Amino acid sequence: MKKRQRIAGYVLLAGGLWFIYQSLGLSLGPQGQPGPGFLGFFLGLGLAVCAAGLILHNRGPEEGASGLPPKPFWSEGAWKKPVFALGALILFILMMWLLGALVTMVLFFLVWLHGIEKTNWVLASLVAVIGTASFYLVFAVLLQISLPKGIFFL
Amino acid sequence: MNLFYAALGAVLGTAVGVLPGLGPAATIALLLPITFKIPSPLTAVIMLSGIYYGAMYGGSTTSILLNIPGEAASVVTCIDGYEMAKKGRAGAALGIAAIGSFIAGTLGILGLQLLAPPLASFALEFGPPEYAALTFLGLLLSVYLSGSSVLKGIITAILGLALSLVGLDSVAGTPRYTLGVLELQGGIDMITVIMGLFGVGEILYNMESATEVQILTTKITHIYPTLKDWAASKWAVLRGSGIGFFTGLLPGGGAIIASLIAYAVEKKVAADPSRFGHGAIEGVASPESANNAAATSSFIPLLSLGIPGNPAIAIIFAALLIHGIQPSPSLINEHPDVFWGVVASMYIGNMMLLFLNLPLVGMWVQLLKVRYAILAPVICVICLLGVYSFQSSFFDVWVMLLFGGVGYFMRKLDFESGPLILAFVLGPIFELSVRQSLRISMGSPVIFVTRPISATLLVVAVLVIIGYFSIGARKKRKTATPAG
Repeated sequence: MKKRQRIAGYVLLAGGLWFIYQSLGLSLGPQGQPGPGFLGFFLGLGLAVCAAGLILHNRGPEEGASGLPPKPFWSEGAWKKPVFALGALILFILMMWLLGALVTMVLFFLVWLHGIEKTNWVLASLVAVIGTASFYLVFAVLLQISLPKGIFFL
Repeated sequence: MNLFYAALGAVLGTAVGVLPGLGPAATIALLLPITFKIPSPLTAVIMLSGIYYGAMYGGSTTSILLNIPGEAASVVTCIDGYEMAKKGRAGAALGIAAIGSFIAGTLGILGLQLLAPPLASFALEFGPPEYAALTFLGLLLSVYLSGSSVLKGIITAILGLALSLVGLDSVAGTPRYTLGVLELQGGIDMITVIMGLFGVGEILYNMESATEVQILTTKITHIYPTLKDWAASKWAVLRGSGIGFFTGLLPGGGAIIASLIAYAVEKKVAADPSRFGHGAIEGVASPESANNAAATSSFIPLLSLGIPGNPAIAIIFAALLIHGIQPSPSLINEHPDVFWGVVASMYIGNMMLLFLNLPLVGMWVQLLKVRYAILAPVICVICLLGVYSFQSSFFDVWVMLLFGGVGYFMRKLDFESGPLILAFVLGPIFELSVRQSLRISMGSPVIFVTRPISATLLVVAVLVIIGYFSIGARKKRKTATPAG
């Protein structure tokens, strides 16, 4: 727990320093005329100080509750579902541009339900068809939003 | 038409409240794209507010029948609600939760109706220093009340403010913090941040631990409380309503804290506190009343000052902006139809919710059988298409996904996303009022303490900080002193 908090602290510290650097480049403004970098400078400073506080607060060895070993960031295999889901979402965006929204939605539901959640093909196909049809009805027909059509013009 | 959308909001809100894993803020965000096509801002806000207070009603069903809070504000209802259900009194618990919510909601609307117009008239006197002090106090309270770690709360609030600066500077027109990306010159859109953090981020986080829930199989009978139940809970409902109403006014306070305080107070004033935790009906009546009253009163800062106090209200703030209405103290004068329309819809919505939650409770129990495995990809598609539909931009969809990842890691590392959203929404108001104040005073920060209202607000902010440190010191002393 402490190590991952320290890592978060270093990332935030870098973010704070970047904000300070960018703000100085923008100018803080002359006396009485706060410039575009004015607030950003103080926010960057505040972020860097708080991040340093987070790092210092989490010094020392890892400790678990009541003498138990520290809890891992992901319990065994727990990372799989969120990582695969994130992958499926990235593919969804890429494919939507290429294949259009309708085809992509069907594939996305099948991949998510059968591939990630291990539901049977029948249920996955049913949700894929009904889900896609419902979204098409709501977004394209009712709300008249032009969804990407892709190379198949669907 | 407005009645239809009020009913739709109430139904959707109850469904969201019933289903664990999706809070009211996320749902309001998810359904925001639907309101883009609604021509009237009043209708849009009526539907979104229906979702918010509807979720407060629905959350109790899951807490009582499953011992899992349907939404965070119903967490304490689990304690006595589930115990009542185990003893075959699920009907009485659900009944008193719905009736208490109705009474508290109605009293809350009455308070909104009476308090918001004079508060707005008073706020018309506010200049930039007062707004700067008010937003600062709001951010401070949201950090203080948001979670266990104030340091992490401050960090997320700073991140929210920093993100709100990305894009063209509103005064000088200079691009800021855009990493040279042209699309970022227009700033990061509020919808993409909200949907990423509350939609995709929540889904990814919940996927790790999502297990199929077991519904208590007891038959739900006698949903109307008996005279004895009513006698035991009438003061609890009124106390909960009062506590909820005042807690809802505080930025960052909202329904969750209201229900926790109401439960603690009820236990304190009870003749026999040992009944609590073993199915005391007051333990259901008070927190459920409190969370509804808080949900209603949290509209007061938005509609009278133009300052949202919690993430769900911040999204309604965004909805008003999208529809061309700037929430501010002049909203009640300039758009009386919006203010009074929302008030009227709340009275009707509350009555609808009483009907939805008492005779139709069986229908909501059936909804609990929908598997999270199916719900998760549906929510993700709503997020993706919702963000895309806003500006037909793939860039926005990528930004949303990035914030989904950020939201997931924030949850894993115990960082609250509430202060980030609030700070992101309040950022432009805060920056503009600070810069205008310093221009008025030729760069002297003394302006914030020489004007009575801003000085008072800053004194309150200082008291909050002193209060935080003194409570921390007292806790430290207690732990250092051996018991006995």
